[in-house]
Amino acid sequence: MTEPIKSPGAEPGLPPAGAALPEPDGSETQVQVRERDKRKATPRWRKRLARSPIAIAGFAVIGFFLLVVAFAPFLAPYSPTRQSLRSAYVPPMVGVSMRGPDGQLGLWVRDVSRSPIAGVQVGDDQYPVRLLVRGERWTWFFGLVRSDLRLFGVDGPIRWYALGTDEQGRDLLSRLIHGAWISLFIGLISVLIGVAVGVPIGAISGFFGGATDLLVQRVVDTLLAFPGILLAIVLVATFGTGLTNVMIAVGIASIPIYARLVRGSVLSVREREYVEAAKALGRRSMPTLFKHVLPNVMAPIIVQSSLQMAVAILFAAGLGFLGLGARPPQPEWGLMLARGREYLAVAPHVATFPGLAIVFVVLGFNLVGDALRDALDPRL
Amino acid sequence: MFQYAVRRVLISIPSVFGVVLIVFLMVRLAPGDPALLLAGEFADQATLQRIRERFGLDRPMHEQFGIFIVNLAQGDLGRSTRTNRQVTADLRQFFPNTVELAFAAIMIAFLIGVPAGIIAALKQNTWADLVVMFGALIGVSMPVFWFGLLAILYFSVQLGWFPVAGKGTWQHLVLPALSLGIGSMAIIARMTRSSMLEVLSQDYIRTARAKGVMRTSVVLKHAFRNAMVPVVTVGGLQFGTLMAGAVLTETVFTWPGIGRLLVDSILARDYPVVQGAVLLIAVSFIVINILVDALYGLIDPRIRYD
Repeated sequence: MTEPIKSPGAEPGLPPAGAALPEPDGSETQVQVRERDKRKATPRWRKRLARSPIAIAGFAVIGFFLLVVAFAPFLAPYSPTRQSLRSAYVPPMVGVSMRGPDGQLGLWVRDVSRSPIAGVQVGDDQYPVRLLVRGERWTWFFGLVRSDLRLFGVDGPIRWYALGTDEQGRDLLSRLIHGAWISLFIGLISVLIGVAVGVPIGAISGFFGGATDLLVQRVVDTLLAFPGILLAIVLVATFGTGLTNVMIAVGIASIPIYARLVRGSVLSVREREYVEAAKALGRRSMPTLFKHVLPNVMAPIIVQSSLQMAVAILFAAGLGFLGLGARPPQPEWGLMLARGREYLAVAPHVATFPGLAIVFVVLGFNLVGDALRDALDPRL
Repeated sequence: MFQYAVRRVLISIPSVFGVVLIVFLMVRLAPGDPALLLAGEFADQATLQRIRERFGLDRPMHEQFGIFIVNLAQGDLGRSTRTNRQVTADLRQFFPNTVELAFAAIMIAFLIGVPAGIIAALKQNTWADLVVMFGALIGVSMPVFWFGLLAILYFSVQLGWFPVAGKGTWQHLVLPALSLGIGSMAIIARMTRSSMLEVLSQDYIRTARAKGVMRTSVVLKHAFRNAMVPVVTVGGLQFGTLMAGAVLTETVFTWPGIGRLLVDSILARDYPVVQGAVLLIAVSFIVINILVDALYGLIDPRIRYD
């Protein structure tokens, strides 16, 4: 096709390194390549990634999420499992004010409790919320880290539930923070399973072709006939519910997706000259596959893995919501949502915040996935 | 076309066979005695013995599979361990509700997704584009069951516009269909946008504009019709996915569909019904994909099947 005079369809062109081009919105962007970058010869896709606002937003979200996972007990004001029946369903942001009893600035809170008969009751005394306070003791990383230091807490004999409490009077914020690692783990484990099994299967299927390919593709077809979350549900129904099984099930459910993706990419790379050259030089098949073919199909695998993290977290939350995943005391977000559903009219915040947490994290992985795709494959 | 259709159906046979095999294996691989799983926890010895004989559970695996297929061909999937009803009767009762819900969802997804995608494409890189694309991103990142709960909270509990749950009038359908369709809506909007952008950069669009065809006419007649081909395909495939997505939506809205039947049966360890529901959802997904393939040829005459 000849170059069109005006092509509204073309994605905003990627400026050559070192050029200053007007952005589509009209503003000038400086795309000066610094000397340091030149020397290190950063791959072009990394530069595109660093420049993309989508990527920055996505990595910021994931970074924040990782920090929450790593420092959960320090960030959470209370224990995720401690119950208090006099404060069940306490709504968020009640009795909070920016002025103290004598008009001082700061965050001041009152004691809030709730009972079925008396309803929400707010105490009279105000207590300040301070940073870095000593609170309940906690241990983390299998007992390796112990402390009682918390990022923030109330300086006084009351508790402050920033996001309210659930049906057993447990602090929702603390539960959300302590539940973060579950989502991260489910995502990581299931992506690992998908990559570890799906990629070799797809690569061998695409590279060798013939009867192997035919057989593998029929199996993949069969697994893909279970749309979306159904394959994970089938596996959980067969092998039992619970968090571990959910991770494995969601991982297995992603195997056919990786297998299909990698097969397609391998098929297109297989015919390239450098593979021909390797063959002509007498390299055997397996080394050729691993040394020359697989490294060149990494891009779609990386993109898929980011998007797959998002899908896995959504699926696991869905299974938790259905009662097929994590079990009650665990602060898994999908499960928390399911509990909140039962008391939706009484305490809508119990269902709202876990959902927001899921959206936030899934959005992060989707953003990174999209940005990676744009950076690695500018043709799309 | 006919030849292609036949071949497409033939290619799907191994998949259907594989699905049947997986459903068959579900009960055999699950921990515990398969007879107990098929008869229910509270079955007495006589019932267990009857189930064993009926499904040939004391015979080798391949014979069991043979019996399973013969029963299946006769429309016999066993009886529910909870209600003792024929599984096929359960499926026949619940399946139409899921089809209704999924159909309404895909309609909503197209009705909102396509215009949103077109607007985003026509106003590329403006705030309208940004809003649509960000909305689509949120749409694919959101758990459907959470959106459903929020919809119930605001539109049913607080505003009282729609019933909270159940099935009956068209008002019952609105919120479940919307929350089920929102993911597909996002995907359709994205697809419409990129497809429109591609078509709008084609030479024939420039020609049409150059010869003085009105902008609306160019967009609707020249661009839209060509851009819709991949969108319809993606949307059609979404329809199949919605059948499975209904599992979550139906649970939120207590919609009496096959997804909720499946979840309830899993939780109650009612394996005959689980088998039937899984089989039905997977096979209808395969059938829908064949139909979408055929539709693809009908709406795009450039596609040749040979």
